[in-house]
Amino acid sequence: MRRSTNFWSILSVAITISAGIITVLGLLVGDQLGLLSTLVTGLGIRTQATILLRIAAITIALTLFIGILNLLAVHVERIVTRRSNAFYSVALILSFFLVIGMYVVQRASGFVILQNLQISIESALAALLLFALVYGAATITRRRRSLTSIWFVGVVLIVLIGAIPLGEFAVVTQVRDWLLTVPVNAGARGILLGIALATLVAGVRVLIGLERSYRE
Amino acid sequence: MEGIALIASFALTLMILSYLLGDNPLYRLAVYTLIGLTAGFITIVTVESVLIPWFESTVLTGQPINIGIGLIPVLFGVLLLFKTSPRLGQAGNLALAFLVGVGAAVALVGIVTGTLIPLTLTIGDAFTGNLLNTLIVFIGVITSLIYFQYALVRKTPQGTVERTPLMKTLGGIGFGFIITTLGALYAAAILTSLTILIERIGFWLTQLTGG
Repeated sequence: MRRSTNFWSILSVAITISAGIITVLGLLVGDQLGLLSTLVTGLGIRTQATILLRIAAITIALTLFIGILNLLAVHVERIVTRRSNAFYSVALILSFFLVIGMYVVQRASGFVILQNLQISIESALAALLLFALVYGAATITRRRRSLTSIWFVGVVLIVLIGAIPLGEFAVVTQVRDWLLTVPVNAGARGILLGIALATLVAGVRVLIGLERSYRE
Repeated sequence: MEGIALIASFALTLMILSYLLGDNPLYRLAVYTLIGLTAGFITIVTVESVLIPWFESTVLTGQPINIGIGLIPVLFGVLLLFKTSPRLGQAGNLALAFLVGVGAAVALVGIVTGTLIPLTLTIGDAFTGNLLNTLIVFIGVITSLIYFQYALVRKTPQGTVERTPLMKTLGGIGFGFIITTLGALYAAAILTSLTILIERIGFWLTQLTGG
């Protein structure tokens, strides 16, 4: 049993490293890197990388499809077993088949549903977010009054007030512009660089086989 | 057809906004409808734009090598289904390993060409103009990065691990810059959702008044 586990683990790591390195070389190495470029072109690594990327994309699409089938199965089961709130499952199944049915019968009607129903619901949800965000900012200062929370809400207020065309009170707009150009610019660069460096380290660790948590 | 869809759209918008009165069945019904619609559209796009073209260009060509390549994602999909089984779970890891390898490579290439190189190249833009502002940006970037690192730490006599006083101070300054950035992003999110709300209200007023 132990030998079998090791075999699968080694095979998994080998697949990760080989697929990862071929993809990196295929995507990153251009035509001006001398011997490495000649090697990549000669071995057809760019074509292999393209095939690997397409296989990965199709695999993800298939898993998405399997996920949707699972979603439908779960809700059909909820309807069949007449669980509480099965009414919502009926709405989900009906709306799913409405889209598929309309699309099969008349292709253009699928886009009418997308335009009128889906975009409407998503816009309403995004609009609803306004109240949640304002409520969140208001409760931060009430529940957790600290220098950080006051600073945070202060920045939010300056950016919001600065967005209003205030005319003679243009000083707020100037403060907002300075805030966005200097400290926010610096913080955003710091955060982006932090994310980039962390991703780089994590990616390299996966490609050299140090990170193997996917075997669990 | 469009008239019915418009009425349904208005009803669904009201159902979603009814959440302002608290969680209620109408809101949930609209959310479940959204999930059903989204699942339907994802199915259509996945099958029509991804799966059918793939199988047409590989399996249906009749050439053995193309058929082999075309069936690899199917094999990986089946292997991923094994992940639910305690006995065959290890086989499922093969497909996961492949996805992790390609995903890590894409992330690595993306981060190098999409973030690190452009940020390094545009760093010159931040150094034009006011010297004080340039200095603030420089300090902001460095201290923000210091805030995210936990390598330079020391052990206290009590056995706990903490940052050195210098790193604590620099990290604190970086934290201030990060909070400022997050505050600005939060305000931007409020402005965006406000714009969407105004657009929705405008749309419905136009539809209802006919002008």
